[in-house]
Amino acid sequence: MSKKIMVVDDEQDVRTFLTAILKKAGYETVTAGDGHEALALVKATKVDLITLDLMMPNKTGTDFYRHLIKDKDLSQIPVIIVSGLPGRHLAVKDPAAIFDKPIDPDAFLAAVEQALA
Amino acid sequence: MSRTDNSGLRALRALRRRLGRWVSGNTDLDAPTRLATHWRDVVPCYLSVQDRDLRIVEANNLFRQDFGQRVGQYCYHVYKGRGSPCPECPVLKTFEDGQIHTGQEIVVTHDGQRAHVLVTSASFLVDHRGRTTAVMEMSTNITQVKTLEQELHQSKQYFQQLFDSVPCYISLQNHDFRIVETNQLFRQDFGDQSGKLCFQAYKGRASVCPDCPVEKTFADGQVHSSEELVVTRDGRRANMIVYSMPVTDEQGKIVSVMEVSTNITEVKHLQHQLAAMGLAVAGMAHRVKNILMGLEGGIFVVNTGMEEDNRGQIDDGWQMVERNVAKISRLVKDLLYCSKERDPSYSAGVSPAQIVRDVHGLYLTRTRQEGIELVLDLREPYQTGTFDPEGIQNMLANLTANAIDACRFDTTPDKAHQIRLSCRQDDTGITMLEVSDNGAGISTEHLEKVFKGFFSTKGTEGTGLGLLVVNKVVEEHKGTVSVRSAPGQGTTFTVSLRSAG
Repeated sequence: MSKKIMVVDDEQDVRTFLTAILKKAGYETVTAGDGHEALALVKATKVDLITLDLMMPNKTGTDFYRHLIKDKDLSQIPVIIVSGLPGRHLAVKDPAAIFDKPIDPDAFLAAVEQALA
Repeated sequence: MSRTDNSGLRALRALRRRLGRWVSGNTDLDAPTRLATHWRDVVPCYLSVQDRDLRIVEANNLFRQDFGQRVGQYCYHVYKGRGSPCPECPVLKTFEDGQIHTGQEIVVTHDGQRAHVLVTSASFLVDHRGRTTAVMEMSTNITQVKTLEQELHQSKQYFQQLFDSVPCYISLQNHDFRIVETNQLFRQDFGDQSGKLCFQAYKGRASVCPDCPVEKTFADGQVHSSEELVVTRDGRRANMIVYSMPVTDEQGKIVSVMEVSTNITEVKHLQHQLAAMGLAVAGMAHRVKNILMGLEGGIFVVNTGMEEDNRGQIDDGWQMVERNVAKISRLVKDLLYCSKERDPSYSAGVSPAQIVRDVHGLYLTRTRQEGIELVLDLREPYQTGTFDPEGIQNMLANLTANAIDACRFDTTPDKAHQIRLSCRQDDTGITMLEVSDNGAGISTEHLEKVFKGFFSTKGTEGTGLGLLVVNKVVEEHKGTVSVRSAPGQGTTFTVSLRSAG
């Protein structure tokens, strides 16, 4: 069974891009446009990995992350940060990987594979 | 001639008699003469005895040394090379009333030196009718004193000029912060505050400012500085860098403190601009990154669609490419607009209402996608005028894009969002354009900053340039722009433009 990856980004284009990369590599995807949506989704469906943009309107990226790590079950899900935010490493402790926008699809896929292994 | 000689002789005899009486009892008969000669030649001034015609009958060594052997010549000729008596001559006055008179004169010595002298004239010989027949004139050379006086005056004036013309506010303050003296610039911008308290004059405060540099200088005698925000008498706020330095008396005791303040408002302003610019550049880089990501994403999706022969995916990817190219062209346009390079291109016969209609058309698809109703509200009569159509379109596009964001970022559940583009005109050539939304609204705190360059709350999507563009277009048209907003209720931007023709 293919792994399910949740793509969280407020920009439609980024969601489309990441989804296209992941689908092509054979992953299943779900998407969320902000932190609230993402939290609801991650509670409702089991996801294996999250790609997260931190700089979204109303700070929902970091808020979502805070909620995630407080939850015993959800905190186990690996998170890959995809953000153009300078100093993004400060906002999140121990992400599986950090990507600056724009991303290199191959490097991104390699990081996803490694995080899921 | 003979009369003069006689009077001269008489004078000498009389002097001798007087001195003889003065040293009566002295057995040395020549003593009075010697004494008189001695006394005459040791006094540090020009001494001469003159007859009623102002002819010199007798003169001391110093006189002879500086003016030559001039006995028998007229005083005014000897002293000044004149052909007639000087006005206000003290000697003549003494001849008239027998009293002592004084005056100041400028005389020329025989080697051409000008000398400033203080003249005292006293009756020297009196005839049996009590009439003064000879006057002794005593002239003290005060050239040096005069020169010093002049130098002092000049340096005083120089100091005053310096004090008044330095582009700083200077005030002298005493121990209780009372202003003793101020320079012209200070008086010009803060009024005559002599006798007032410094903190009152500069800031309208009731007590000493915290960390007052003047207080520190009084305490340790050192130069101190601080940065202060003050208010001028016409209500302008100014950033000042203040230096305080001690003014001491001869014993080295601090009697007052001089406070020199330089207006650095402009520098501060530039500093803020620069800081804002730094943030803006970072924001811009961020936005460009996002657009690049969108472009690369589009290309990736198109390529995948082609590989998989999926027409739908190719279309999606291509739309992404188009969208992001549009974004980058918008960004570049805004940047160019904010730079000074572009001159507005006015043309006659421009219809602002038509521009509003065009912008409405441009944003119809976008707003529909976002679930926002875009209302067009044009009031007749439609006037045409001389405007910069591209500028106005750009301005309205920015305001509309802002309004769309305001609706998108509005977290109020189930709100039916609406944006209204309106245009009203009157026949005096004034056009009122309004972009109104019922979106998130702007907080009071942010409302003050919106027109400042590079301010944005939109994270990755804002460049902080949009309202700068609006401001620029409005300024170019000598118009006005205002904003009303309430958080949670929406925002209205109102622009009034005047036809340039």
